[in-house]
Parts: sequence; C-alpha cells; structure tokens
Amino acid sequence: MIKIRDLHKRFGEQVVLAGANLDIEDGSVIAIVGPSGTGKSVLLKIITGLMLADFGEVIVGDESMTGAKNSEERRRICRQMGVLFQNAALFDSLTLFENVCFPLDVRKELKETEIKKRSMHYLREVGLRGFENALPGEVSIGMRKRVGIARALVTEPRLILFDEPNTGLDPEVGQEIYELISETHKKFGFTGIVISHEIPEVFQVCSRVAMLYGGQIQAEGTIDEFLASNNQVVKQFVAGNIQGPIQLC
Amino acid sequence: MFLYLYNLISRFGTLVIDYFFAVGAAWLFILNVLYKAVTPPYRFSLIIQQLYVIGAQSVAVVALVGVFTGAVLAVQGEYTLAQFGATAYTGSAIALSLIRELGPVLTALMVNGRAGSAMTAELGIMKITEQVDALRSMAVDPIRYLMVPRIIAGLISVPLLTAIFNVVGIAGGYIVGVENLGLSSGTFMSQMIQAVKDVDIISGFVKSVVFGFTFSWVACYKGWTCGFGAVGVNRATTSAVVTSAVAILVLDYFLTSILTNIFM
Ligand SMILES: Nc1ncnc2c1ncn2[C@@H]1O[C@H](COP(=O)(O)OP(=O)(O)O)[C@@H](O)[C@H]1O
Ligand SMILES: [Mg+2]
Repeated sequence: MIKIRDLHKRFGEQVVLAGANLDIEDGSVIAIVGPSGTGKSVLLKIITGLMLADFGEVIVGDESMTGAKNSEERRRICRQMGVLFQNAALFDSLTLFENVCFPLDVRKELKETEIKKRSMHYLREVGLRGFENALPGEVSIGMRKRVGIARALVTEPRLILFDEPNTGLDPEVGQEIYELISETHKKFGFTGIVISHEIPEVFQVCSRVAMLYGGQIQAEGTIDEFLASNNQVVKQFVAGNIQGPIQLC
Repeated sequence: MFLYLYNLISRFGTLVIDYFFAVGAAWLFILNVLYKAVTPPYRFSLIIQQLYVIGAQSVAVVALVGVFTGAVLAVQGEYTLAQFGATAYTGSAIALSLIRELGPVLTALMVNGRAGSAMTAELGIMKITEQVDALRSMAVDPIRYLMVPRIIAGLISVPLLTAIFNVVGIAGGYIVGVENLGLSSGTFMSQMIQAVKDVDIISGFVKSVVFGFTFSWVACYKGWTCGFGAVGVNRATTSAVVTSAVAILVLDYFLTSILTNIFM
C-alpha cells in the first residue's frame, strides 16, 4: 500500500505539486495520467526518494520515504522498487546483459552464477535472447525499454514504476511494451504505477486511473469511474479538447 | 532614479550571492567526494578503469606534445643562450623549463582537453538521460560510483603523464640539440644533471598533483550540475574545459611563487 499525503513541490517560482493525495493498493496497477509537464515524473521521483518533497508524506508499505533521515535510508527503502525510466536509462558502457545483472551485482546478496542465471532468465522473459552482448546504443529504443523492464524486474520488487513506457515508440512497439507490462504483472504480481499522457492506450494495463493536473490529483477511480468523472479537467483530457481549464502551452 | 539604483544594486547583489552559492556548492561537492574517497566501500576496479581512460589513453598525445616541446625548447634555448656564449647550458635550460613549468602545465592542459571534456560530456549525458537517477534507484551512490574513481584517477594520472612528458621532452631536446644544432652530448647531459635539483622535481610533482585534482574536480562538478538537454551538456563541457584551463594557469602562477619562496 502506498499513501501519498498532501505532497508539495516547487522549483523556484514554479509550483509543480500542490497538495497531491493518492492511495495505491497492493497488487494493483494504477495509471497516473496528465498532460506533459504537469509533474508526473517529479511525483515518481519523490515516491522513489530520488527527489525531496517540500512538504507532505509518501508512505511505501510501512515505511515513510519522506520521513527518511538521509539518502542512505531513502536508497534502502527504494530497494523494494523497480523503475523503468522515461528513456530506459540503461548504462551506456555496459552490455544489455550487464545492465540487467547490475542491480543484483551491487546488492551482493546472490552468488555470481545465480545472478547470471536470473538475469538471463529475465532478459528472455522480455524477449531479448540473443542480444545479451549488444550495447544500449546499438539497439532500438523499444528494445532498450524491454531491457529496462527486465532490469526493473530482476530484483523481484514489490513495486514497479513505469515512466511513460511507450513515449518515443511507434504505435506497434508501444503496444508491445504495454502487453509486456500486462503479462509480467499477471506473472509476477507486483504493484504497478504507470505514468502516461496517452489515453485510452494506457487503460489496457491498469485497473485504476488517477489524473494529475495543477499540482493535485483531480480524480481517481476505476477506468469506468474515471471516464464518467464530472471533473472539468478530466473531461477535457478524456475528450482531448483544446478548449477547457487545461492550459496548453 | 531610486528605483533604478535599487534595481541595479539588487541585480548586482543577486550576482554576488549566486556566485558564492556556486562556489560553495562546488566546495561541498568536492568535500563530499573526498569523504567518500577515504571511507569504504572502495571500488578499485572502477579506479583502474578510469586510470585507463584518463591516463593510458592520453599517453600518445602527451608524448607527442612532449617531444615537440622539448625540440622547440632546444632551438629556442640554443638561440638565446648563444647570445651570451652559454650554449653549454642548453640542456639545463630545457630540463628545468620542462620539469618545473611546462611539463605539469602542458600535460594538464592536454589531459584536460582530451579526458576532461569527455568526462564532463559523459557525466552530463548520464545525468540528463536519468542514468544517475537509475544508479540511485538501485541504491548505488553516484558520488562513490562515478565521481570518486574519476577524481582519484585524475589525481594519479596527471603526475605520471607529466613524468612521461618530461622524459620524452628531454629526449626531444637532446636529439635536436645534439644531432641538429651540434651541441656536445657530454656537456648537455652533465650540465643538465648538475642543474636539476630535487626541489625542482618536487615542485613539478606538487604542481602536477594539484592540476590533476583541479581538472578532474571541475570536469566532474560541471557534469554533475549539467543543465537540461543537449544545450546543457554543450554548455557544461565548454565551461569545464575553459574553467579548468584558466584555473590551471592561474594556480600555476601562485604555485610557482609559493614553491619558489619555500625552497629558496
Ligand atoms: N530538477 C528540476 N529542476 C527544475 N525544474 C524541474 C526539475 N524537474 C522537473 N522540473 C519542472 O517541473 C515540471 C514538471 O516536470 P515533469 O515532472 O518532468 O513533467 P511530466 O508530467 O511531463 O513528467 C516541468 O515544468 C519541469 O520543467
Ligand atoms: Mg515525464
């Protein structure tokens, strides 16, 4: 269970989060949607402890990320999470296989052979058998995202966050990534947070939807509840209208 | 009028405050790096990797610049000394110029241009493509993983490369002086050995350590604080190379003055 309470964040004059509240149940996949630049990635970074909130609380399981005393403690809480970053964020100098091994290597909990075995398993899980020794720069962005998913899965975390998993991909590849997320969720049963500005495509992977706009969660519910919302911002976003409360830049 | 003055003063004040913030941040950064460099866990394999990138891969260019610097010093030194009938001291002039001054400075400038810029660009790209965040999300401290090995490697590489530069430079000077300009080989060597004292070698060494530390500090800090997008990386890289080059030359002046005073 993840609880987000009255979260505030600003960069200088620019207010990005202004009292965001959200509850996420264990084992579910929630999509956090909203137009570009509303602070979805910032929210993800605060949940994972990569960025500090100005005010408010994030509770992951029974630990408070925002209450952590130092970066060491934040990193420890973050170990129960896996993250797929917006452009996969693979390490350029490591091969795809080494990238998947990396989170296990640094934990030093498993034996070398066990790490290799498990990494290979997850690399196959995402359909990248045969590309172990390629460098990230040599493969397509779709493949890099697959590796990113394998790297997030390999530690078998309870929570996985996906930042715009299909941005920058052409529609078919984007669809494949969504299918991969659904499949792996069925198989491994993690709690998922999928950030996206693309509806209705993202609905296929989630059971609930929350919309972030103006620094707050405007609406949260099942897909049907979300689509039937009376919130003007949600209505405009769902309909894809140019006119309405959302200011397009 | 008052408003104008008020604006002027406040703008100037902002600049000053920003400047001190930037300097303070750079100091906090390096203190953090140094603290983490001396506390475990140590990552020797990463240091070796960086020694290869910063040090080993710079040997060729440093040697090339070294040999020509020595050669130029021979021609120039012989020309100047001939006016005083003192060409016997050409070897000493070459060796002292290289060991005390040109070796550390030129080596550091070359390594800065070659490895420093690459370092800033690499770290900057890692930051803007969220690779740094990815490290942190896997409970890896990016200061320990990225910055410490680079700064230690910079610190070790520059003195070693300087030694290569000096040796190659003296050889270049010898070849030109003895083979081309017809100086006596024996005088060249004996005068050189007599003229170069331990203190010269120590001052050169101190300088090269300081320069190695300076360029890798600047390169890492600029990459670490790189702004968004390709423009951010571009700015960070340019600024790192220029800042380091200026810092090396300014520090060289002060170090020369201080070291000369200490040993005189
Ligand atoms: N580190 C930062 N420093 C300053 N501004 C930032 C930073 N990170 C994000 N922002 C700003 O916060 C806003 C929200 O960004 P982001 O969360 O990336 O949006 P998105 O919803 O598209 O993911 C943007 O206007 C961005 O410029
Ligand atoms: Mg984003």
